Parts: sequence; structure tokens; C-alpha cells
Amino acid sequence: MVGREGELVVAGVRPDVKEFLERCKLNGLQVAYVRSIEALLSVLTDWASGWGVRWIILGGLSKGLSEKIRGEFTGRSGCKVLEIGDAETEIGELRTSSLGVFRANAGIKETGGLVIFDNWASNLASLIPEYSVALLEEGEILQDYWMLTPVIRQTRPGGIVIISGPSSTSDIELTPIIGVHGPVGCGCIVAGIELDEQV
Amino acid sequence: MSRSRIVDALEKKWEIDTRWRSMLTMHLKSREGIARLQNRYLEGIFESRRRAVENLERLVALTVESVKREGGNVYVAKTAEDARRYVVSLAESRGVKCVIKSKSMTTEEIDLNNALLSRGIDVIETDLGERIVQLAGQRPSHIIAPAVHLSREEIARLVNEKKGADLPHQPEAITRFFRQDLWSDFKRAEMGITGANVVVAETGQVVLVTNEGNGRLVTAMPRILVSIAGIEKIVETWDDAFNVLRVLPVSAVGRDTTSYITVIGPRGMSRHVKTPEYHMVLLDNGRMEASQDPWLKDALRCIRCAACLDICPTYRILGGHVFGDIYSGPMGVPWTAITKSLKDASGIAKYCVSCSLCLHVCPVQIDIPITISWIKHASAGKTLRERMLTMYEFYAVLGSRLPRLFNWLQGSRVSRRLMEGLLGIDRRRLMHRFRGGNLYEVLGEEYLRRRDADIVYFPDTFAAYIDWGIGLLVVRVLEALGYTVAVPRTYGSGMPSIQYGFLLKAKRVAEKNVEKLKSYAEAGVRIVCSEPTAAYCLREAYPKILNTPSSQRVSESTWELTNLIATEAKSLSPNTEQSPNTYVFYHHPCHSRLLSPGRPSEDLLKRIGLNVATVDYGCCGIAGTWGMRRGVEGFLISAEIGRRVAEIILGTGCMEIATESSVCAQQLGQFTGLKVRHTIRYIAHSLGIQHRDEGVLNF
Repeated sequence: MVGREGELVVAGVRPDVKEFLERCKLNGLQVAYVRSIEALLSVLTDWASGWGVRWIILGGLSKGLSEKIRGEFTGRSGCKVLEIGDAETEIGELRTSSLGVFRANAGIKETGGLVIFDNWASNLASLIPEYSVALLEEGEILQDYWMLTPVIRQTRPGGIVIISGPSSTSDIELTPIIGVHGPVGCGCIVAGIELDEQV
Repeated sequence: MSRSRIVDALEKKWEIDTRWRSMLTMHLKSREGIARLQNRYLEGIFESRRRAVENLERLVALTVESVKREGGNVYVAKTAEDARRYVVSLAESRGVKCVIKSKSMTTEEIDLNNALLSRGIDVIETDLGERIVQLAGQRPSHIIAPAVHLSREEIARLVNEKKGADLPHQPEAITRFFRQDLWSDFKRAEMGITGANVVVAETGQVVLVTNEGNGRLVTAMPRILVSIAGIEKIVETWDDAFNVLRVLPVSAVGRDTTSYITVIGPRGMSRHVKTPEYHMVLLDNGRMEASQDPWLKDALRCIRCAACLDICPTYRILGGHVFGDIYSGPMGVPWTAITKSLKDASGIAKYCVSCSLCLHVCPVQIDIPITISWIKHASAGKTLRERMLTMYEFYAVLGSRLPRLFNWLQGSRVSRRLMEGLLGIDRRRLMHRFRGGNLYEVLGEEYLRRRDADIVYFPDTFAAYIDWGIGLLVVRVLEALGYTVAVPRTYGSGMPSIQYGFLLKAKRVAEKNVEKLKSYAEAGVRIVCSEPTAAYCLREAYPKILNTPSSQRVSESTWELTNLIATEAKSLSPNTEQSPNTYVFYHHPCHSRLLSPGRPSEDLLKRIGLNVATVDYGCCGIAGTWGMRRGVEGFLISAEIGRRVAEIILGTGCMEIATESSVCAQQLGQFTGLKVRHTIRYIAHSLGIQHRDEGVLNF
């Protein structure tokens, strides 16, 4: 039931979810769709292994989901799990060989954007490590930016980030380079299950 | 116009080549992106920006209220000096030793870095391009690609020298170096300073559009955060903001979105669990006054996408350190007038050649060319030679009466040297030959006075006086297609007067032409132009210069010749006698791009059986009489453009060139060596009116 990078083959995925994931792929993200927590953990460990990371940094996840991920990675050779918030002072040491896993609050189908509302831990987990993966529920995918307007008016977030790809630049002779100040690689896992209800 | 600066710029061949390629690439990506974009987004952004400028004062007040409500500090700076003082004093009072900045043209405008440095506060630019130009001790040469004028070798050399590194000249290695090097600055800085792509009044938040992630780090790491925004960046609602966010990256680089959109405000998402100290500085510096100025207020709609820089022919050659002040390229001219003075703006306005492509690509429809004409008009410094060039029609009428003399003068080396000295016409510029006589005499009274026409032909100077063969062919083709044509005696379009900022003279010409044409327009008769620049004047420039109902009516009735034929002459079909192997390059004149959506001429040439190639490189670089001007005043820059355009055209392997502009024909013929013909000649041939090599002297 797992769609891996470049092979979105899951039967029965909602067309809007599929479109969103296709758009994310175009933006340079690895993508997957999962229907169980086991599948999600499997994708995460696969990607972490592929990227060769040693640190897993969790940000903005529910307690249950954090514990599941921590449980999955703890014991794996060379991989340590940290949670942003209890390790603020260590942030600076986690720029390399690290994977940030964060909870996105919404996805924008039209542009393949991953939205973080008012969550500083998600913000840092998606920004500082060398790689980052967003976790999103399929019901959180919106058509376009304008569907955010009522949410912003209702929740009045202090800060918002919309992520649509890895950090990049073309400032030297217009040569595209991935990975300037933010992550060099990004992924997005859309879940057909409720993520925050994991216990 | 500083001759030495132009000479220096023209000597940097590598820099010109790089910039030309980069701007062309960015332009093509932008156009592809805009073509994909739904019209509702372009309509949305125009309306959002228009409303924002109309309500500037109210939106500033609303933003101030919102920021305060959310617990932030907000300061409205009347001048650049006020803004500088506020930020420096804030940094000093908080004991700040190091400031990190994300990319901001507004801080360039107020010269903030020097103000902070002079107080012993370290300032680190964190955008890669900005950091490179900071290390080089320069200012950005392009508003979204600050270091586009530097090669990878120069950058590597610079970093090795300034930072003691030993980098190869590979962009990957240089980028990796800055990732590590700047990280320590992100960690040590106490204050972060950002600009703003949009300010949302309803929630008092600033939106940053970035790719590198430095903007996010600048807003997330330090304990004090300052956003500095020009007040024109304010929009009222989030819906308005999304209109900008949807179009800006597309128009800038052809991408639907950037890697990051970051929204910050008094309650941002810092690494500090406790809310950081937040300040918003809203900068006026001439903007509020400009919002009341009929000529400058449209420039306040600018979203800084830089599409106008990428397409501008002189910017591509000279770059932003010559064609620019703080803000560079076409949009830099009105923005220099807004934030500095008309005098400062007029210094760079001279580099605008009035091709109007900046208006064509502007996603918020700012009429930059007519604004620049007004800036030229309103400021001193126009030269006698420029005034003499506005007499272009007078010389053409004289040449039509004395063709042998004029053709001899144009061919004689001695007289060309004299012309260069007196009129400033470069002796290396190939000129059109005079046919002798004029179109009105050839057609006779019947055409001049005809009242039952359904088409009025406006020939402009070239087809009326220099080579009436084209004008006659236009009339014959229109008649063959079933139209009844009138050709009342009119004046030249007056483009040189508009181009060089003689707007009073342009106004007089416009009034006379509108007077001649208005009765036809009011009777529903269409006005057709075979010269794209003439159509541009009637359609776009006259209504802005005259602002009368008659000029508006004439504008609405004006058609470009090939657009009319492509739209209405559905019966045109391939001419079997025309060799199907004729491989023609179609050059799309600048003013034609503005007027006729799509590619009517190219479609027509294909319909009549020609094999047609085209490339969207922009302006061919002659721009009316500008490319005829001597040396660095025109010809040398024009030649740099012409050679590069010729390389593209010859690269297609085409055999000849079709176009509608008489001056583009001059330029393309001179630099490609190929035969250039007016599109109407191919159409005439397909209708069996004339062989395409007969009856027309020049093109």
C-alpha cells in the first residue's frame, strides 16, 4: 500500500491527492501515500536510510506519532531521535546527516505547497536539518492559496510557512543548485489515516 | 548619459554575453509561465495592486493598527533618513553587534548597511547573490539576480580572497561554502532584518518569497526581528496577497511558486519559544506623494518581478550598474523619480529606447515607457541632436522630393561623416533609400478624399515618404481582400518626439492626426497601420498624451495590418507558386507584440504556405532613430544587440526574414546580411498581386 519515490501506484488514491503529490514531485520532493502507520514508518526509514542520516529531529508532531517514530528509529544503528523543544541548544549541531520530520497543517494542490501554521517546532524541523519530510493527512489538501484565507481569518496564526521544494538558488550564472541554507532534500508523506490520533 | 560608463560596460564582452544569455533565459521562462497562467490571476493581481495604490493612506493606517493589535512595534518613516535612524537606534539600544539580513531592495534604498556599519554593527547579507556583491563591495545589478554580472571564476576568486578559502570555480562548491560560512552568522546575530514582498494590512503581517531558506533563518534565529517595507507593498486582504503570490514567481522566473513563502509578524515562528521582539518599518520616501501623481502613481503597482529588466534591450547590454540607480532597468527609472528625484531619474531615463517591451511583459500593466517619456519631458538635459531627430518626418519629406541627392548623401563617406557630426547619425548605420515622390501623390485625390471607405490606411513616414511601394502594396492587398480604402493625408506618428521626451511636440502631432482620423473612427471605419510603431502611437500613446474622447475613439478603431488580415481574411490560402521550401524567419516587432495578442503575422505566413521560424528574443536593438545615433549614444549598443540577435536568427538556418517594421528591417538586414521583407509582400504574392521582389525598394 505504499507509493515510493517516482512510483505513485496506489490504487484508489483520491484524484486531488494524486494531483497534489504529482505537483510535489514536480517541485523536487520525494512523495508517498500511505494508509497505515506501519507503512508510514516504513517509508520514513527507507528514506532516512537512502539519505544516510544519523539524526532524526521531530517537530510539531502529536505525542503519539512522535513515540511511534521514536520507537521505530531507536535501536537502529547510528540513528538518534531528538525532539525540537527539548533540544534547542543542539539545533546548531544538527545541520548535517539529519532528517527533520514535521507535521504540515495543509497542502496546496495547485502549487504543491506544504503549509505550517504557527508552529515553531515544525518550522525549525523543516528548515535546519539536511533533509526534511512533511506528514500530512489527505483531508488537509486544499485546492489553492485562496482556501487558506478563511483559515487565517479564523485561527489568526502568528506565522505561516509554505514549503514547495528544497532550498535552492540560481545566483551564480543561473546555475541551479539545491541546498543553500535549508534542506537539500525534501519529502512529503500523505496519509489516508488520522495522524494525530496515533497512540 | 555618461559616455565613459557606457564605454566601460561595452568593453566587458564576457559580462554582456553572460547577462544577455541569462536575461534571455529568464525572459523565456517567464513568458512560458505567464502563458500557462490563467487570466483570472493576472486580472486579480492587477485589481489588487490598483486598489492598494488607490487606498494607500488608508492601508498604511490599517497596517499600523493591525501590527499594534498583535503586539508588535510599527514605525512609519517619512524619509530614508528616518528609517535608517530608527533601525540604527534600535540596534544600538539593544546592544546588537551583528545583524543578518535577507534580500531587501528597500534597505538598499535607505542605504541601511552603511549606516549600521558606521556604528560598528556588523551586517551580513545572507542571500547568496547579495552576499557575493557585498563581499565585492558592489550593489546588486539586478533586483532578483544581484550577482548576475559576475562569472563563477570572479566569484570564486573573490571568496578565496575575502574569506581565505580555496574554492574551485564551481557553483556547487561556492554554494556549499556559504551554507557553512553563513550558518555561524545566523547563530551569532542578535537582530534579523527582512524586506517584504507583500504586507497584509488586515493582519499586519509581512510575506517573504524566497528560495534559499535564508529568509526563514533570518526570521527564525535572532531575538530581534525588523521588517522594512515600502508602503506600496501593502495590500488590504489575504486574498489580495495571494493574487501577488500566485503571479510574482511566475513572472519572475516562470515557476508557479518559490521554495518558500514565509509569513512573519509580531507573533512569528522564531526558535525562541518566547515571542521575539518585532518591529515593522513602513517606508514612505516619496511613495505617498507619487500616489497622487498621474504619471508616477502606476509605478507603485510594481511587484519587483524584474520581467521588465529581463526583456529590456539596453539593460541586457549595459546592466544595472549603468542602467540603474538603486532600482535598475526600466522600472528603475520611475522608482528613482519616486524615491530620489526627477533629475536622478532623467540620468538613467536616457537608456530607455521606448521599445515598450517592458509594458508588454509587466504583469500589472505599468506603462513604463510613457512614464519614462514623461520623465524625459519633465527634466532638463535633452540635447539639440535629440531635438533634431524629432524632425525625422521633415527629412523624409525632403528626401522624397530630392531622392537622388539624399540617396547620394547617404552613400557618400564624406557626407556621412558630416551627418554624424551635425545630426549625430552614425556613419556605420545602413540607411533606407528614398524612392522619390510620396504615397499621397501616387494614389491621388480619390483616396485622399474618399468618404465611403471601410478602412482608413495610416501609412506613417516610411510608407508615405521614404518608400511608398510598401504603402501602395498595402492598399492593393486590402482592396483585393474586398475593402474600400481611404488614405487621408496624415502626419508621421511622432514617435521620435515621444521617445526623446518632447511631449509637447508629440501632443501637437497627436492632436493633428486625431483631428484627421476622428470622423472616420466615429463613423465606425477601422484605421489600419502597416508600421507597428504607428499603431502603437495611435492605440497606446495618443490616449495617454491627449486624454480626450476623440483620441480614445481613434485608439479603439486602430488595427495593425496583419492582425486585421489574419482576423478577417479567412480565405487566404497557400499560393502554389510560392516555393514551399522558402524558409522564413519572422521577426516580431516590439510594438506589434504589445498590440496584437498571439502571433497573427506568423500565422498568416504559415497559412500562405511558408515554412516559418521565430524566436522570442525581444527587441532587435534599433528602436527607431535611437539605433542610428552615433557611437555610444545608440549605434554601438544597438550593434551589440543586433549581432546577438543575428546569431540567433542565422542559427535557425532561415533564408530570409519577414517583419513589419521598417527600422527593424534596417537592423536585421545590416547584421544578418539576409534579405528582409515586409510581411505584406508575401501576402501580396500569395494573392497574385505582385511578385515579392518587384515594386518595393527597401524591404
